[in-house]
Amino acid sequence: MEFDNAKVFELLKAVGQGSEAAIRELYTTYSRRIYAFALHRIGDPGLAEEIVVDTMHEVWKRPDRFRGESRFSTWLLGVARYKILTAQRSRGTDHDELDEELPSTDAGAFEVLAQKQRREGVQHCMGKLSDEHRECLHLVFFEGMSLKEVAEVQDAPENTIKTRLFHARQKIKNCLRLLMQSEGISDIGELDNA
Amino acid sequence: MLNQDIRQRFDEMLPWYVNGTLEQESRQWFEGQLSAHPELRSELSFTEALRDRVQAAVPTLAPDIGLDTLMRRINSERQSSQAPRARIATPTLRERIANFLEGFRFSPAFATAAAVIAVQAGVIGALVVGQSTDESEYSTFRSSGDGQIVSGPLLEVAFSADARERDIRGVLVRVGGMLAGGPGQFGNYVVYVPADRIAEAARILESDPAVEAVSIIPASEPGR
Repeated sequence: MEFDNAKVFELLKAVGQGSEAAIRELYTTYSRRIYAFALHRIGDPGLAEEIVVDTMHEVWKRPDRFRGESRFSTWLLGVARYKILTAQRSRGTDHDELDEELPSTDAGAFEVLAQKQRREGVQHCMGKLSDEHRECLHLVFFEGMSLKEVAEVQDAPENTIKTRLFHARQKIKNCLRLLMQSEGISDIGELDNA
Repeated sequence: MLNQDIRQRFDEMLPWYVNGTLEQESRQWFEGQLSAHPELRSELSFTEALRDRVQAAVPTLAPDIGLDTLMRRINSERQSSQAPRARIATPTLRERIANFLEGFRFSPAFATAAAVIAVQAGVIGALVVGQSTDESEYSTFRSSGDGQIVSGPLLEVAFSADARERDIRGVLVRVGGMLAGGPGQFGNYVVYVPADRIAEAARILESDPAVEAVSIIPASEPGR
């Protein structure tokens, strides 16, 4: 669910006047999206919940910071992103990142992968992506954001976003291929009969 | 045969086609390529499967998860901000002026000081009146002084919401930085630091409790 900006401004004005009902309404409307965003980025449900609280606390303290230059959810995820970066820095969180191999041209293999819907495999491989890549996939496929909106939240040029998405997909494909090889499917063609 | 340019354009559009934000014209081009090159369908299937996994990876949860924590925090802040106000009886403006004047009681020193101020006011007033009031002589002032353009690199800094102006000024002095812009929509500021010291400044800022996040904005290319 997404409020239009007129409704958001109405609620933010009430928040500025100290209305708890208004912050509750904003919270229950946007909490799941902030939580999903944080969970995809950091993978820790407890910390993701803290990010939701911290983000909405920021809205409570400074409702005037939203100026209507984008959708409220886009702005809100930008705030959440800063909260995540702060939390990660204070905890010294780092991530193993997948090596990227040369893009594969074996189209048939990907078709098989898609058909098999290797649920755990895709999940595992997404978890091995860098934070930036995983976050980018979330904004595109969970939030359904446009290229311009993703660039705004990730604070990066549009061409960088395109490159991130391309590399994220390549890394997942190569990770899945390695997983299959480790399961004894050395020839990708064998998947057809698996 | 699929040429490289078409393949690159197809790859760039693919995520936006799958999430439904591709514009009509681009969508038509994309679907035309799918028809002309059936081998591209496997890429589409893979990306659709990826989208489904991203969407399914988030557990269903109550929309009020964490809400109690937030409300407790808000109420706690309200109580702590109200308590000192109740304890300290703040004098009114009239009382403060009265107290201020009380200290002088028209002593000889006060009379002398008042006379000096009156003379100074007269001199300044004469200078102001002596100036032309012609609107054509009004000057234009710019915040950037002589209009010097800073091309970067720059630092984008998110200060903590709890940071006071004194904290911000203090950390800027420590890194030898100068505010070049902001706050932006997310409350971020742009800070100028000479290029040879920018990495060190970023490191100092990152470790400062008044700062939430720092990133370096590369220098813009000439002509951009």
